Amino acid sequence: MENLDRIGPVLVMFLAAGLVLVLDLLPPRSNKRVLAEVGLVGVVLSALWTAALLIRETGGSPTDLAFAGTVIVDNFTLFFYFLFPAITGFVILGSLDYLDQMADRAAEYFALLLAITGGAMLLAASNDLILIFIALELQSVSQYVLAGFLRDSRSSEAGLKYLLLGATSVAVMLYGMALLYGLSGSTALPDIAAALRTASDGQKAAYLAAAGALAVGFGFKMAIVPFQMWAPDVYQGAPTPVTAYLSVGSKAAGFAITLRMFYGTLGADSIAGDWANMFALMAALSMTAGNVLALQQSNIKRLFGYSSIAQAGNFLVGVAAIASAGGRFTVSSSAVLFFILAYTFTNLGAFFAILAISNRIRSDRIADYAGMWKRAPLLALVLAFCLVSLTGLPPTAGFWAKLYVFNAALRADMVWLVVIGVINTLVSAYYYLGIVRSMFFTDPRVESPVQPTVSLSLSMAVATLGVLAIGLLPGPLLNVAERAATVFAR
Amino acid sequence: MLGQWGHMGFLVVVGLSLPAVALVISFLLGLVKIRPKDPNAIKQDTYECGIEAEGSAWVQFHSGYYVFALLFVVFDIETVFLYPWAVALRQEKLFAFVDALLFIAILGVGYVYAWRKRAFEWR
Amino acid sequence: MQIHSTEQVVFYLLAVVAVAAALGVVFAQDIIHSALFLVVTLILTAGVYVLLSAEFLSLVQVLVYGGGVSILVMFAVMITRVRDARGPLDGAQKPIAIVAGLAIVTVLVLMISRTEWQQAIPAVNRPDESPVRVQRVITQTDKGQLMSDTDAIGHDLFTTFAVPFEVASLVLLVALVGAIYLARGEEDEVT
Repeated sequence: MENLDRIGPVLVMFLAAGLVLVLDLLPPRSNKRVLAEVGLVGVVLSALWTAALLIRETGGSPTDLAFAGTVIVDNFTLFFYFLFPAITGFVILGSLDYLDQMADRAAEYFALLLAITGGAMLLAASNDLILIFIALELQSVSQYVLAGFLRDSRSSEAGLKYLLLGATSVAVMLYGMALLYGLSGSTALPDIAAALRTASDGQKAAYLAAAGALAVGFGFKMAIVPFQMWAPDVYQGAPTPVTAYLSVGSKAAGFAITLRMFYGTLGADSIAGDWANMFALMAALSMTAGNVLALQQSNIKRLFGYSSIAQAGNFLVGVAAIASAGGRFTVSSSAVLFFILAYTFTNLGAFFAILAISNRIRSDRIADYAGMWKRAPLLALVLAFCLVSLTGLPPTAGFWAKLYVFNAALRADMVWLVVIGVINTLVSAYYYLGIVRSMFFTDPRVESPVQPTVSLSLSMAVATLGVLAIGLLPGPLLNVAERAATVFAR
Repeated sequence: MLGQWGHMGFLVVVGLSLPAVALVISFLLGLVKIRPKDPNAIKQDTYECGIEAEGSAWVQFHSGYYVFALLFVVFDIETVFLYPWAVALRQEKLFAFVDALLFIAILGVGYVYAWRKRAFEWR
Repeated sequence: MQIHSTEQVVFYLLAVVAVAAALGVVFAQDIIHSALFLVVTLILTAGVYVLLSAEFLSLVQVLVYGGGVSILVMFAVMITRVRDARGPLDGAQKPIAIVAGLAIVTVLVLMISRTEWQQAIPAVNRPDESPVRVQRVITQTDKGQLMSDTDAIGHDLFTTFAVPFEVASLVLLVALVGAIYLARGEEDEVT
């Protein structure tokens, strides 16, 4: 039972998913509110369980293995045990409104969403290649379906593209895992790390090839260049709450496993420098390509697709910095975790504002956001605030996030990467603030006011306050990130 | 190692060669004019009896087939997992038993879902 | 290339035909032919697994890929429209794809042939306790006999890999729900 306790928060998620499905099948068909409430209860219970684990963790051992070492529940895992349910809670609240359009599909929708969350949490807790793969697949399969959930031509195209590219990248990743198994004779991450430490020079190339192959699969999840092709189409075609989830949840899951895999397992000095350079290159490409392509978008969801590629590039700057920094591991990995948190709040806030607006004006075109200040002052303010945070200006969470990440890169002597990052911040300011300008300083074509629903306003308020609070007082959250990152300290 | 599979290999070879030999013999007999070659319309029919085949085989089939095939694959994989379970059950005792029951129960939800959503009905 | 044993003869036989069939998948003009070539490759891979003494995997390969997935592929071809499915499927990127493919093959072959791989640890000799794993995979029965690989997999599935095993059923469930949901057209919504 000790074992089950460790993955309790995950089990709660899966149980909630199953319950949602079963409730829908029972003769008195429950309405979608009940299903959403089941989901929310699952989220809260899961978070409470994590809190209980955390309280015990402070007195207990630093790492906790369970299930014959396939599952690891340390501070890093607990960080994501909190993060993923939180994201899902937000997304469920944001979906209520949206689901009015699809009356009897709510069960599948919520069940898949909860299954993804459970999968993402399990991914963060994985300590074995087999579990990593299966947790990743659970998320991917559900996400393919959710991307095509609307079943119209655009949504189906999104689902299909996501599926085809996803299956290909997962196949490459699996090849990398096979290489690791062949090199180390074990699927357990600690065994692989041990094998790497004693590896001969001849094996180094094979380890690097494996690292590259893994980066394909993880990079696909994070939507970084050159594995970003799916992002704009899927972001545009998927239902907007799903897009919101993909832009934060899927990315966070990708980074969770990247950190665990690359620092926890492949972090030996003999190859760390090489893959750090690979990530640095990907970071530079992602930031540049994402921002430049975002400049010419006219659809706001598509714009966020490109913007999220650029933001993933920012995460990667931190990722690359960790390995180059050698002994100073925690500074950079906590910067990445802090960035993930800040980005989550910010992007969710922005997406809720977009949801609230697009639900009413029935359009995703940026041109239709003109003069939003006059139609919905609060929504316009929230969106503007989140866009400022995405740009990385004070007094927002995004400012500190960028500061920490770039600082980590500077300490790792990656000046060129920071220069590219700063130039890209300027480029991104152009299109982020362009939306703000259009909302505040142009006249609306239609005067009718836009009103958000209660659930949306609530989640929007929480997300925005989060962005503001982190922006004014980044200390506590940085502590949290640092504690989670201690796992990788050596 | 190969020994126990040698019989299997032998079977495969025999199985593959039977039709090949038949075709070759027929061809050789045709060369020396023992086998008559006299094609006509009825003989060239796809099916000798039953309803006459009409049009091209390249039509779009009903998508229901696909759902059935998919259901088949899913439960096929379930069976595959139960096979090592059956072999290992005697050693692993209660834990494995409960484990597999849970596995089946989860897929049972899927089965009920498919049933209630009328995926087993042909429409 | 020196040939030492019957196993190697069988291996090269299987490998050559499997690779040829795989090329057939890519180069066949008719999508049905591609699908049939794919079935050949998949079944022959099962033969390679037998040579590696992975009998269970071989059985899975035949059952799932040879049976289920092949049927799925054929049905998928059948429900596509005729005009989309006929003729060559190459795009303008074919030359680039060929160059990239050959480059990857070269790199992989070089990498694989030059690396010292971990020798497979014979099942009986594997240490019972590794410093890392709480419970190491035990590959001996109570009487100390060598297990068959199905035994070993069964054992692993219900001890070390209990979590992935259960999650596998969730993946299947999710795939089932998703497939039924997506295949169900709008007109079937009334229940």
